[in-house]
Amino acid sequence: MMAASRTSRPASTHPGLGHWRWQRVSAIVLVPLILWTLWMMRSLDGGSYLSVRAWLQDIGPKTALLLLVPLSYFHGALGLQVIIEDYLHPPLRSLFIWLVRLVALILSVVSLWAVLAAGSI
Amino acid sequence: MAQFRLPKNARMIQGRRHNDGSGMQRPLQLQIYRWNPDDDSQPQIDEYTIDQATCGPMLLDALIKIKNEIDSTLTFRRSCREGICGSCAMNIDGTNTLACTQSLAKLKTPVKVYPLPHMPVIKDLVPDLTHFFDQYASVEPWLKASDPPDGQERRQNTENREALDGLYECILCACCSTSCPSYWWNSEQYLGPANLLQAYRWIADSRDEATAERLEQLNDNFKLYRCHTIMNCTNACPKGLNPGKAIGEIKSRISKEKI
Repeated sequence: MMAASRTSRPASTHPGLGHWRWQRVSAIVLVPLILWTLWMMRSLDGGSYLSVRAWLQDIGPKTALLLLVPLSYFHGALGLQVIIEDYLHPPLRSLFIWLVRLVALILSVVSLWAVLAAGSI
Repeated sequence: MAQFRLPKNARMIQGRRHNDGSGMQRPLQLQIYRWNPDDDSQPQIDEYTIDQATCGPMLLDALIKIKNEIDSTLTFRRSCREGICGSCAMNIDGTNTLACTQSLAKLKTPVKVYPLPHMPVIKDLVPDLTHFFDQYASVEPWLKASDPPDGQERRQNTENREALDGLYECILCACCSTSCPSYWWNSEQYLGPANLLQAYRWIADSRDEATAERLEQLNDNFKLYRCHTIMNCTNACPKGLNPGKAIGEIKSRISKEKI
C-alpha cells in the first residue's frame, strides 16, 4: 500500500524524456552546424570590421549564424539545467533554471538582432 | 548558507591501535572505521593486525577473525560468505565491494575498511539502507500479469529468458548505488543504479504486462535522468553486472515509447 502510494504520485511533474531528447537532438544538429560555420569562416577576413559585415551579408554565413546562435544557447541552457538540478536544491533550483533560460533567451534575441543588423547593409 | 566543512560526525579521527604484528608470520594491518551511536564521539579509525597465516582467504574472514580474537565490539553485517546475500558490502581500499569475495591476497597492508559511502551509519561498518529498500519497493519489483491462459504457467522462450541475464543476478548489496555521485547528491529522488537495474529487470521480463506503466513512472527528471553515465556503478558491481547499460536501456525504451 505504501509502495503503491509512493509510485502513484504524478510522474509528469518532472518529465525527463523531453529534456533528455532535446539535449541529444540539439547536440547532434550542432555538430554539422558548427563544422559548416567553420567552413564558411574560411572566407572571413577578421582584419577589419567592414569585411566582417560584408561576410555577414552572404546568405551562407548569415543562415549559419542565425541557426547556430539560438541553438547553441538552447543547448547550453539545457546543459546548465542539468548541473543546477544536480547541485542546487529547492527553492534555488527552479529559480536558477528560469534565470538561465531567461538569460539564454535574451542573449539569443540580442545575438540574432546583431547578426541581422550587422549583415543588413 | 554553504557549508564548507564536513559535519562533526563525518570527520574521522585517529583511533586505537589494538595490537601490533609482533610474532606473526604474515601480518596484515587493517584500518577500520569505527563509530558507536551510544557515545558522543567522532568516528575513528582503529588499527588491527591479523596473521594471514592463520586466517581464511577473504576480507570477511579477516573481519570475523578480528571480532573473534581481538575486538568483539567490531560490528558488521555478514551472512552467506559466498557473494549471494549482499550483506557484507563495504568500502575496501576505496572500492565498494563484498568483503566475502574480496581476496586478501589482492590487498596491500594497511587495508582501509569503511562503510558504504554517503549512507547514514548505524554502527561501525553497518549502513542504514532503509531509504534504499524503500526505493526498491517503489519500483514494484514483482510480476504484474493476469492469470496465464492455460491456468498453469507463463511460458518464455529461450530468447525471452536470456533477456533477463545480467539483471536477475543483482543481489541488492548497494555497492553500485553508493558509488554513484548522482546518488550521493540526489538520493532523495534519484533511484540509483541498483534500483533502476531492478526496475529494468521487470521491464525486460516478457511475462510482465505492466511495462508501459513502469516506463511512465520512471520518466522523471530525478528518478531516472540523474544518471549521467559516470559508470562508477558498473565499475563497482561485485557481481560483474552493468547497471549503467540497464539505465541506458530504460532511457531508450522510454524514448521509443514516445516518438
